[in-house]
Amino acid sequence: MDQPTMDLTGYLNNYNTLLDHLNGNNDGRRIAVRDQAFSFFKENGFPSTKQESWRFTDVSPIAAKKFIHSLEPDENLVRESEINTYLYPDWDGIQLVFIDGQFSHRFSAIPKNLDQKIKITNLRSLPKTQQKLLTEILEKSSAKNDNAFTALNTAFFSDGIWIELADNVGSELSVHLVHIASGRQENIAYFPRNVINIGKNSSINLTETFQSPGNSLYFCNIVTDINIAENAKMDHIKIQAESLSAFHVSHTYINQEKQSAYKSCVFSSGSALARNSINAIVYGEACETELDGLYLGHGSQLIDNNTHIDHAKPHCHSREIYRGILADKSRGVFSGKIMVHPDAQKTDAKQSNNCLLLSEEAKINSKPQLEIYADDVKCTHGATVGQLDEEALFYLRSRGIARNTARNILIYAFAEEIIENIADDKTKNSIENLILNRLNKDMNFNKE
Amino acid sequence: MLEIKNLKASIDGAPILNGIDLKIKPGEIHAIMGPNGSGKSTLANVLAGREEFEVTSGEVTYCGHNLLELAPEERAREGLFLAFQYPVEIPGVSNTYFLKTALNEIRKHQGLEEIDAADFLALVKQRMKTVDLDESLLKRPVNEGFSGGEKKKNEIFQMAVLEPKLSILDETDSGLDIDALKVVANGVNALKDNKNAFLVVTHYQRLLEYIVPDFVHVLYKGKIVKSGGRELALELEAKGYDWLKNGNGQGS
Repeated sequence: MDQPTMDLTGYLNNYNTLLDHLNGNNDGRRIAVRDQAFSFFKENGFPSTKQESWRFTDVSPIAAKKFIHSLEPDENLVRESEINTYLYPDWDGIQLVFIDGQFSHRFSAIPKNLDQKIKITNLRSLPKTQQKLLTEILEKSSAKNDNAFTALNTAFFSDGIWIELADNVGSELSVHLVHIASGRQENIAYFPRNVINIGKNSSINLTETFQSPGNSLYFCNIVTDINIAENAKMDHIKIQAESLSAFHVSHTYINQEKQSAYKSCVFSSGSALARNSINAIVYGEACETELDGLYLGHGSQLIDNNTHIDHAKPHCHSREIYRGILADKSRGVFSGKIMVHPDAQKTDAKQSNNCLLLSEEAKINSKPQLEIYADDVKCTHGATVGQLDEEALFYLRSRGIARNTARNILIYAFAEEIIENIADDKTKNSIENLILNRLNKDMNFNKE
Repeated sequence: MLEIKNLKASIDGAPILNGIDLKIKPGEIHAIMGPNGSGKSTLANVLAGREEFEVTSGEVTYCGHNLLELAPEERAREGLFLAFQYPVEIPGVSNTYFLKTALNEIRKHQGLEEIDAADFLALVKQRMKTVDLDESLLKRPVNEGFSGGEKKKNEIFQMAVLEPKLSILDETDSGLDIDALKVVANGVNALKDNKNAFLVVTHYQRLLEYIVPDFVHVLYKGKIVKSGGRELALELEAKGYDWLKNGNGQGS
């Protein structure tokens, strides 16, 4: 289908009635940004496959659906025992729980003795001074008019997390954001908005997980604005394991100041349709940007990873490795744009996307895009698509390893390169388990 | 242990084995020699269960089983081992993990408990010595970045750990220098006892100076055209394979 059947009526009707309930409703400037974003959505509607960056991702299943907007937090929607399964036990970082996009005070633990230089609050509870800052960030963010999804998020968001690290926070902060879709009601839509500001010389490890106990249909449309100041560091891991009927659209905008480092790993195994978009604007010199991704598709899933790195200044390095494993009739889309501006001499950018197709019907559309306007740069990209190596399979079997196990070992090995780059053990384990569950076989992966 | 009767096999419709008869008893070392394209490697691979080859007729009995009905992994669990002519590189899978998984699959089949980590490590260390392999290779992915010699030694190392009943060495000597050749031969000789057997496929007589065969068979155009003792290998070496082509390949 080229042109999605759009049903905007739900959104249109909702907007005016909901505005009163949304965060910051008494702030004229906030309302103006929301209005501006909503007008953008009204005028442009959902993107169609005629638009280059949505060519392989038909969002009409989302556009055609009438969603109910989740506004009021209800912590009783998910059983405590269930929530505990999504938390990391014995973890020394901070764990924050969102249920259907709303912050759960009951299940989140923000330590009382937190360093004064660190502020962690959900948007609804943000003090006035920061509310003003938030409005300014919304005004500056590309999200308000990037595309329908980011505009909708700007218009409709009601909660999310605010993480602010002042300059020179001595210790490294670790935060686990646990997004849980209750699945209690069908066709819920929610629009979390995260704002993360990391001051000079400070660093954070942020892991975000998106999970649901059920198999229900819902729509998570999240936007995250990140600013990384001079010599600051962020390690950002996302685990998207939503219900297989769900829609997940996420946009992350990163601004990197000089000598900063942003490292991300996006793991996607959930949802019927997922789009992970990362937009890194590297406007400082000598920055490091690493984008890794691993996606596992089966059934008729569509997983789209859309990345953009903008090198504006000299001496920056970026490295991007995405790997996909697609079974059944699933589809993957990878689009990696690297822009090197005339000033960005000595840029060193590497990109690769490798995909393993496990069935004849699985499909990947891979689109590297390098735009280089500087002459003294090193930029490489490569894409491979292949099946499991039959020779390797026979080799394993010839040593007594069953065909299925051998197959799983090879699939797992393909993913290994991405997994081994993850520093946090709990996060690594959780991704390993998701892969093993998907492979669904007793593989006995005891690694010494 | 192994009895092959009138085995015929082809690949993509082209016949390669044209009626092989061979009998191997425990404690024996058999060598199969022959010129390029005679079907030596095909025989080794058909026995290991490589699916590209189609067995068109014949029977293979191995330790009381109809071998041709078993999947490659079942053959391995029954103690059949193929040392590959071209060992495969498997990125992302460590040698240790691979070998431990293989050993445990075989042990499970034999009704034994899985080997624990400490015992496995001790076994591996001891067996590495017999093939003069560097211990650091264990942690590396299977055969990845190994030299030609290291790959072949790794095959013999795996054999030494898995302790098969019947080992088939598919041109393990090709591309090896004399030192590596001796290491491979030592590995075989250390493992040899009166319960297991070896089928050594080779183009040259050289390896047979170190692994002394009880029987030598000459394969030509997919058939065993001559069988004899160790001296047959020397005769072949002296006269060259052209000797067969000139009509001396009949009878035995």
